[in-house]
Amino acid sequence: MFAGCLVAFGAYIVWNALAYGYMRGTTPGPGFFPFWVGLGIVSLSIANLIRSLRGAEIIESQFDAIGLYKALAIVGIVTVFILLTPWLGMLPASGLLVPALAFAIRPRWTRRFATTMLAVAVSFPVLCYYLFAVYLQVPLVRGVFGI
Amino acid sequence: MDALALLADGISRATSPELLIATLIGVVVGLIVGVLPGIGPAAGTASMLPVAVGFGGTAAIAGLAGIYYGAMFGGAVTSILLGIPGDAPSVMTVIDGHALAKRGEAGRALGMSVCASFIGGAIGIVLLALLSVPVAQAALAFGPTEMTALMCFALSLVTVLGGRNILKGFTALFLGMWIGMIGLDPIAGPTRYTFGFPDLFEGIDFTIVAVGLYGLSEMFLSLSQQTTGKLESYSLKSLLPNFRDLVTCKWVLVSSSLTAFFVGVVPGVGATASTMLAYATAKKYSRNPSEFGSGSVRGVAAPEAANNSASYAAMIPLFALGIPASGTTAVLLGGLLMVGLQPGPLLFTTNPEFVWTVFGSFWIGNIMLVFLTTLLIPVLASIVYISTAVLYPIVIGIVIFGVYSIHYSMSDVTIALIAGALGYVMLKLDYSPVPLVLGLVLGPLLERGVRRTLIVSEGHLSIFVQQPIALALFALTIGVLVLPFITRRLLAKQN
Repeated sequence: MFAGCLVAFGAYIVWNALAYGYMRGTTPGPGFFPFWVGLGIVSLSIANLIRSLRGAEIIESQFDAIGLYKALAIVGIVTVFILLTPWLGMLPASGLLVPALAFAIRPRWTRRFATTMLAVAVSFPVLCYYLFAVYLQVPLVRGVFGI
Repeated sequence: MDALALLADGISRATSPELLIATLIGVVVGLIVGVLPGIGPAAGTASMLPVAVGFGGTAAIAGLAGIYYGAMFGGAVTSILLGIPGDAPSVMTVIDGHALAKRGEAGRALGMSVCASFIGGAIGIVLLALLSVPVAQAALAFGPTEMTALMCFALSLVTVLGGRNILKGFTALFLGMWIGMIGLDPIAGPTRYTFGFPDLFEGIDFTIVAVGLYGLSEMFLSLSQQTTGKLESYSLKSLLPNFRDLVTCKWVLVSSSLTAFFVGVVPGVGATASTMLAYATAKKYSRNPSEFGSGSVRGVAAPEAANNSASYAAMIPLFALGIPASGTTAVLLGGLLMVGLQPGPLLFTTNPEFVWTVFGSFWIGNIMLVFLTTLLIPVLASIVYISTAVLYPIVIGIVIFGVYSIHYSMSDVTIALIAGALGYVMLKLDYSPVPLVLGLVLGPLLERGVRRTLIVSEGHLSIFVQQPIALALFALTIGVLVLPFITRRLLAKQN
């Protein structure tokens, strides 16, 4: 499936490359390199697709349900963090991000683990404030509360 | 001026408080990265890249390189005490190191690993200082045509770095080259593949992709793995260098360091392959080869000296030619570009102070690691048991803040996240992310080189084969590309 998507994607790159202009007079245009790169992706992906359909492709590390669920959950949580940041501000949102990620990785919490995570959730924004805002002088995103 | 005198100068400059702190942070992070089975040196360096760049020029590179060679020291601790290699180059240390630990000689194995790492590192740094200048001077004769040929050669290394399936390796390389083309065309001007997003007009920063591709994806991948192993005991006194062991292993230490350095300097070979070769060589030339595998102190000395020596060897193609020889040096190359330096032969003439101070920081870091590793062994051994549910959220959080701080943009965080997800899928489907990073770093340089050369020659391709060096490099490139297919053919015939 991935190889199939790459064939289509390579074709898209080639199509756009031709629109950018393959040559400009006697010299290569902006589409020259993308054209060959796209063509490379298409041809190599077709070869991979054929290998896969013939059963010649052996993948050792298969997708496992737990690993996939956790990875997707992390991507989802970070996406929510990105969306919340303009409203909450980076530091307060990071205080929510860290325990949420911990929950995605380990859904069953003991009292001891919950205490640890509470301490981490409180201290993490403080650490980031001193490291990024104070030491590295990074202008962090502030939310509607001004923090 | 003599290379060793320049190195001594660099060492004295590297003792400034700012550089000492940066090196210390780098080696401590490196030790931790080396210990953690889920995170390799490339992922550790990539994750810390946005933060380290904030330290500024020399300090940033000293800190980042510290992570790389620090990981070589750290990897041995868990290999010996738990039988779990923290990173790939310490795989060979498990064989005899853990066998010694199970025999109740964990301290002896750890002591030897620290000594061997230091000796291997010291030999590696001296050879790096002696050889990088001649290599850079030879490369100074390179014009645009030769540089284009060199880029082609570097990209052809995908046959070595691209994992088991060369076709997938090249697919990843082309994907990386395409990502490098996003944004304004450097010569003609129009924007390419920006999908209408103004944030993409300036292109995609290498660091952001590297952080996602190495840092995040490796964490995603290790979420389904569990750490198991019994911690072997040792006494602090036994960690001290055992003079008799050092005398017994003196030739193994020197020969393994030299073998690994000269093998590791070849782009694409890397520390892991050099370590395996050094171990095999030490076993072959041992008076008692049967002791290897059942708890030989020589079996610890050889791989540990080798992986440290090889890690400095990989710096020669990076600094002198501007070619990343491995995933980690590709990240370091990105770090150099981010601090405004173009690695390559000119770096030694335009910024000699920077180069020699960074090399000097390697020496300081190597000494720091001897003391830090010895003192922190109990802490390092216990880090491996820290729950990923505590560690990963903190690392991901710091990565997010670090990525944001590059351009003060949340769009970069989104790109890093997409790269992380892409890296996860790629790793699961056996596509190595290293060629993608190579393509992303070298692709735009190659495109500029080829197009500028063709503009000068008014479109005549013959310009690429008029210079003997370029011709030789193209021939070498073809050789590297064709060799795996010929080898496979021959093996198939034999079978």
